[in-house]
Amino acid sequence: MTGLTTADGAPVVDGPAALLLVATDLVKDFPIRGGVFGRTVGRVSAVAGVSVAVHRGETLGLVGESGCGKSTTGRVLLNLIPPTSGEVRFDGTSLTDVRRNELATLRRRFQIVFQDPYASLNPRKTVGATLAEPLKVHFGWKSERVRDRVQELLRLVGLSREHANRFPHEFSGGQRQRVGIARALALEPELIVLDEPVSALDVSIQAGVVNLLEKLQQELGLAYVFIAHDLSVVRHIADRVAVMYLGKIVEEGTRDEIYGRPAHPYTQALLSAVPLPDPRREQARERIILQGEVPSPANPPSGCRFRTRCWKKIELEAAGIDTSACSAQEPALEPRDVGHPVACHFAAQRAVV
Amino acid sequence: MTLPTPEDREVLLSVRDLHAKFTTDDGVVRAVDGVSFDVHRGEVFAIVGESGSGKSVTAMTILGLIPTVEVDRGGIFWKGRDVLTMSEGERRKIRGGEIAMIFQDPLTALNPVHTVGRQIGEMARIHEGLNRKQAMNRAVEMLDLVGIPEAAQRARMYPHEFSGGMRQRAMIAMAITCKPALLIADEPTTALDVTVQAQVLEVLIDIKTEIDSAIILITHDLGVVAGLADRVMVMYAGRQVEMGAVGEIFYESRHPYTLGLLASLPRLDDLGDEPLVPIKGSPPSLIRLPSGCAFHPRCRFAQVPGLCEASIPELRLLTGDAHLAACHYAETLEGIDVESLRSAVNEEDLIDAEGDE
Repeated sequence: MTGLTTADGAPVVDGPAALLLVATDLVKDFPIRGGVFGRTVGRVSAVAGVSVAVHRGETLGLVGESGCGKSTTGRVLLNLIPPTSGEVRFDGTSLTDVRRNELATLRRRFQIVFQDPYASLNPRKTVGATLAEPLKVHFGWKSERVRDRVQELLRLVGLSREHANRFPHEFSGGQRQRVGIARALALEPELIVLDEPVSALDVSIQAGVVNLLEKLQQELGLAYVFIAHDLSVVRHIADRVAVMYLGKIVEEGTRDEIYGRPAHPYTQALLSAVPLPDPRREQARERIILQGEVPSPANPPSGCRFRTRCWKKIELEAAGIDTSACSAQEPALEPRDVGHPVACHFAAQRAVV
Repeated sequence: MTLPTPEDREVLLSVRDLHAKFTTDDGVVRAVDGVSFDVHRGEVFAIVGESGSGKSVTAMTILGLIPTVEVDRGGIFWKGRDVLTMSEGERRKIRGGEIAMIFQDPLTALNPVHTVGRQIGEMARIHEGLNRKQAMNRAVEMLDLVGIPEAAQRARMYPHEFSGGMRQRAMIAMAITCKPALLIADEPTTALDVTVQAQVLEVLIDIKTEIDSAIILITHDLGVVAGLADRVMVMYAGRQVEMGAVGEIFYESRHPYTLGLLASLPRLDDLGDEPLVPIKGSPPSLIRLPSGCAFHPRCRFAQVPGLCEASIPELRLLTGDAHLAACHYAETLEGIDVESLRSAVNEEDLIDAEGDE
C-alpha cells in the first residue's frame, strides 16, 4: 500500500493487480447561472485537477472542510457525475468513455454509501425489498435465492433476519446506516465509496459502524474511499490519506505520514485544530489558528490556493524570505524532500498532533 | 490553569431537582428528570451528552425559552432568586442582560431583515437605554472584540452577507454586549468546520477572561469540553449521571456511561490501531424509560437481575469534594479506564447492532 505518485501526479504502479481505481486529472465544473434567463455567467470548479489511485483491499481517506470538493470527487470517481475532463479507470477499463450498457455491468463492482441513511432509503419499501432489488435487477435471481441472500446480507452487517420485514422508520440511525451498507454489499462489489458514513451518528453508535466497516473489509477484501471531515475517524480507518483544499489535493501519504509528519501548512493547521478529548494534553497544546475562511471556489486565488490563509507565508515574510512564488506559481503535488507528495513551495515536516 | 477552585467563588446559578416535560402525540416526554447543579462566577461548566439526553432542554429551561416545556418540579435560582416564580418582565431583564445565550445555528437565530449591527446594538438599547447612535458604536466595538475585521463596515451588513464563522462571532458579540455574568452556549461550534471552530473557541476563551463571564457549555464534543471546561456534568436520558472537575471526568470516571463514551471515541492522538468500543444498544425513548437505572440495558457492568433494574441510583458524592456519580456500583469502577475497557472487549461487542429495537 505505497500508493506513490510521480511528479506529474500519475500513480506509480507497484504491481498491476493491486491497482483497482485510477483517476487522472479529474476536473468537475458546475455552471453558475444568473440573470432572468438563467444563463451561465461563470463556472465553479468543485474538483480542479485531482489524481488518486485506490488499491485492492485498502482504504483511502479523503479529508477536507466543507466545500473542498471531497464529496464531488467521490461521485465523479464512480461516474455518478460525469467529469468535465480527466479520466477514471476501474480495473483497467475507462469509466468515462465506456458504453452505457457496459457501465451498467461495471457498476456492480463499485458502490456508494451516503451520509444520511434516512434520505437514501425508500420509506415505502421494507428493508428486505430494498436489499432484494439490486439482486433481481442485476442478477435476475428468483425469490428463494434472493431471500437467502437478503438474510445473509443482514447477518453480515450485524442485523437479524426479522429486520427484513421492517420499514426504514422503524430503525435507529445506526441500524439504518447498516442497511445502507448491506445494500452496497448486495452485488459483491470490490470498491465502496463511503461519503461521511458515520457523521450523523452519536459517538457510542458510530464506533460500532466503524468496526463493522473494518471487519467487512477484512472478510470481503473490499477497497474503500472514505470521505469525511472528522480527522480522528479517518486516522482510525484509513491506510492512506489525501487532504483536499478548494478542489485540489494538497497532501497525500500513508496514515502515519499525514498524521505523524504532515508537511503542508494546511494539513498542519487542520490537524492542530482538532480538539483532543484529553484535558491535560488539550490545554497544553499549541494551536495553529488560520485567519479568515475558505475563499469562493468560483474565484480561487492565483498560484497556491491556500496562500490567502496560510500561516507559514506570514511567518516566512516576517523572516524576510521571498514568498512571491506562492501567488505566481501553482505548487505541484510532488514528493519534494519530505518523502510524500505535498503541494507547497515551502513544504516542511512539523508534528502537530 | 490557575483558576481559583469553584468553591471559593460566588454561586451565580443554582438548579435544584429540576423536572421538565413536554407532551407529544405519543405520550409525555420526560426531558429533564431531577437535575441539580451550581454554576459559579467565572467558571466554564460543561453539560455533555448525546442527542436526546436533555442537555439543551436543561439550558433552555433556565431562560424559559421553550414555551411547550413544562417545569413540574424543582427550582432555578439566579443569584438566590427563584427564576420560575418571577414575572415575565423580571425574567426578561435577566435574559439578555445578565444571562445571554449563544445558539448552534446563527442563521436561524439572527434576524435576516435587520443589519447585524442593529441587532447587536438592540441589546444595549433595551438593557442599558443607549440611543441608536451609541448602540451602533457599541455594536462595532463588540464585533471588533470578537475579531471581525473592518467591524464598522460589517456592522452595516445583513446576516446573509456573513460567512458561517463570522455569523457565529456576531452571535457571540450580541451575547456579550451587556457583559452578562453567565453565557449559555448551546453547541456553539458544532455547525462549523474545524479550522473555524478553532477560531471561535479562541474568541470564547478570550472573552471569558475579558469580561469574566461564567459559561455553560452544552456540547457532545468531548474534545471541546477537554479544552474549555472547568467542571463537567454528563447527562443520559434526562438524568445527570456524573459530575465533577474536568480531570475527574476524563481520568477518574466512576460512571459506566462516561467511560463508555470515552472508549467509543476515535482519537486524533491514537495511532489508529486501537479498537473502538461501542456502547451496546441505543439510547432509550424518553417516553418509556427502562426501569431502575436508565442506562442498565446498555451497561456492561449492570447486575441484572438485581439493583440496577430495580432502583434508580442516586447521584452521590464519591472521591474528592465534588465528584458525584449516579451508579450503584460506582466504587467498583475505581481503576477502570479506557485502556482496560478496550483490552477487555471481545469481537462480538465491537460490531454490536444496537440491540433488537
